[in-house]
Amino acid sequence: MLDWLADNLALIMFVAMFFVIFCGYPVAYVMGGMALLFALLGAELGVFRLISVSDVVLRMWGQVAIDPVLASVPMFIFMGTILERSGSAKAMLDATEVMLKRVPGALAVAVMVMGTILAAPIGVVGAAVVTLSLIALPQMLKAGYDKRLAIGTIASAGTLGILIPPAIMLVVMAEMLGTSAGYLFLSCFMPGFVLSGLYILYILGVAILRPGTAPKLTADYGPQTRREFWHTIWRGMFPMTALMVIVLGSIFAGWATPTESGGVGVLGSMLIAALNNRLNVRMVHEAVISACRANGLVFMIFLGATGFSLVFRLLGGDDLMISTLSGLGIDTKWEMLTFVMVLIFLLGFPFEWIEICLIVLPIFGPILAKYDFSDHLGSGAGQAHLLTWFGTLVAVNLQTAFMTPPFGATLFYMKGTAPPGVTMTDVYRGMYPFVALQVVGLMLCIYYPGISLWLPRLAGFLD
Amino acid sequence: MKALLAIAEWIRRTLERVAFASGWLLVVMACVITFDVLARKIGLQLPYTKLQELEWHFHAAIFSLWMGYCYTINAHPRVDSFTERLSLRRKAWVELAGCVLFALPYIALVSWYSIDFVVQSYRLNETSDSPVGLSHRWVLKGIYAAGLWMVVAGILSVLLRVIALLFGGRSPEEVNLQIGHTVAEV
Repeated sequence: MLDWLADNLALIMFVAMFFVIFCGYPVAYVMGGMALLFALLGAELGVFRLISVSDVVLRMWGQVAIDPVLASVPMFIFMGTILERSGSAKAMLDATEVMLKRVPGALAVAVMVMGTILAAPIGVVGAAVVTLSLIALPQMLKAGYDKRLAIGTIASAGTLGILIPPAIMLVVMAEMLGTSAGYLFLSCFMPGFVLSGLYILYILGVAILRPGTAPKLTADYGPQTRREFWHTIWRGMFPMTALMVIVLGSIFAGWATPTESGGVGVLGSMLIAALNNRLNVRMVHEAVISACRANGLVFMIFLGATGFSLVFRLLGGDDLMISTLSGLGIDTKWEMLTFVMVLIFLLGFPFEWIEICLIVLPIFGPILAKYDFSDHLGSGAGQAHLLTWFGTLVAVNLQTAFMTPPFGATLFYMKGTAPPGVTMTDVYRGMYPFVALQVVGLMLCIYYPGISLWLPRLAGFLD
Repeated sequence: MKALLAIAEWIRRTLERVAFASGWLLVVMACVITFDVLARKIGLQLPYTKLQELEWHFHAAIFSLWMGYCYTINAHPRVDSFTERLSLRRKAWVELAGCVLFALPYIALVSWYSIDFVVQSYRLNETSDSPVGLSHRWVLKGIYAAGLWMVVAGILSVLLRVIALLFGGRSPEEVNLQIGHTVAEV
């Protein structure tokens, strides 16, 4: 009995953590505490040397604190919290509406288009969803849109921000997979647009088949003269587009590291806020607090997860996981990929992306990297291709986690900002079609790896 | 009990002061980065290695000094789908168990090891790995270690409030315990 316990300690730890975490105590501390608990247990059983726990200090320092790429996380979060307060969202929505006036379901399509452009630089899902919801939801409801369509549109547009670069999640994922953040930025670009396209097709379909749910805009909506028309579009689209071109372009062209482009992006977003007369000490102070709060919680989870994965690894968890899975009949590459994708999808119901990235990726990334997918990814595809493709799939999968009822974080933000009369059931029902589209998007990315790998190949990052 | 709450509030306020002040490093960091990028583009001759090391020094300092404060304002995400509807007292019991069993032992141990980590660096007068990098590495390591101890302080602050609520018979308003549902902001 004791021998069995000693041999399987890592696996028991992995499973036990997922149960204990449901007690509602902060995830970061549960991970760290479980690590220490099982380290003590392992020491008692003679399979662990307790002094190894001191490695947590070194790892947290060496892999997190002094990592020049992770330094981009606070910068991108800060850029997002400033943009959230910069007042450009309203101008952008006006511009997209004016452009898309004649399209069926114009308002919904406009929200989607704008969400795709705006959510990316905001990056922080909460901020993106709240911003979109506050300005667009009342307007859509007033125009007679179906509640559920409006909610689904806004929530899914807001979550695109964690997929479309510069996304904080991609930086963290790249660290965990041991690949470059630049590769993931490029590879997630197209999947983001594919998803956005799927959403728009769906909205168009609904608007055409059931016009009652998405009324048309009248011809006298918006500016009437050509001059005003272009002015609205210029004012709404130019600042944000310019910011994105600077931030992403400098990374893709290889001029700047993600951290550097994030820093420049912060000052750029302050400039946008200044142009809108929103820049003042109080606003910056609020943005600083909000950014640091989000940043602090991300790195606290890093601290807990560092301990967890350290103890897991030292207890022999990696080999144990592989042998257990092959005992369950999961040993070919497609079975393994499917298993990991389903696992992440299921974990996405209760968990946020940070926990999943920090627990699942370090364990399953190396396991998956051992397989040869070159027949699927194209000849000459090496580990870099595989990890980039795998990372993209995980990113799309995790984005879905934000939207899945009943615990997706986006849903709470929607409910929190929706006008009275919108119930949680409305929010859930609104999400279902979009979650289904999300699964379709994930399937497309799995079957056609070209969607992910085309841009990195084009840029010459991968051959 | 009044004293416990006073200590808890004093800890929270101290953490808050440090956190609010260090938060503005974000602005400084962005300015340093932009200056670095622009100066390099123009082609100025500056000690760029030092500048670039400074950039992640800010990053390390910011998150270190915020981790502890985040707990006192209930920013750390929880998976509370099953416990969300419990009464405040029940939640406080969960919090008590969590603090004593998980948070405090782990963080206190890690913080304990971090002292040696800083002392070593100070004794060796450790500098950057790069010969043209920044010296005095122990300063940043000290901030990092202080950050870990501030997490311990944050946990103590919450723990004291929990104790005051559960065993001191204080009203929830007076205790001002920040626990319960929270959504991750990223």
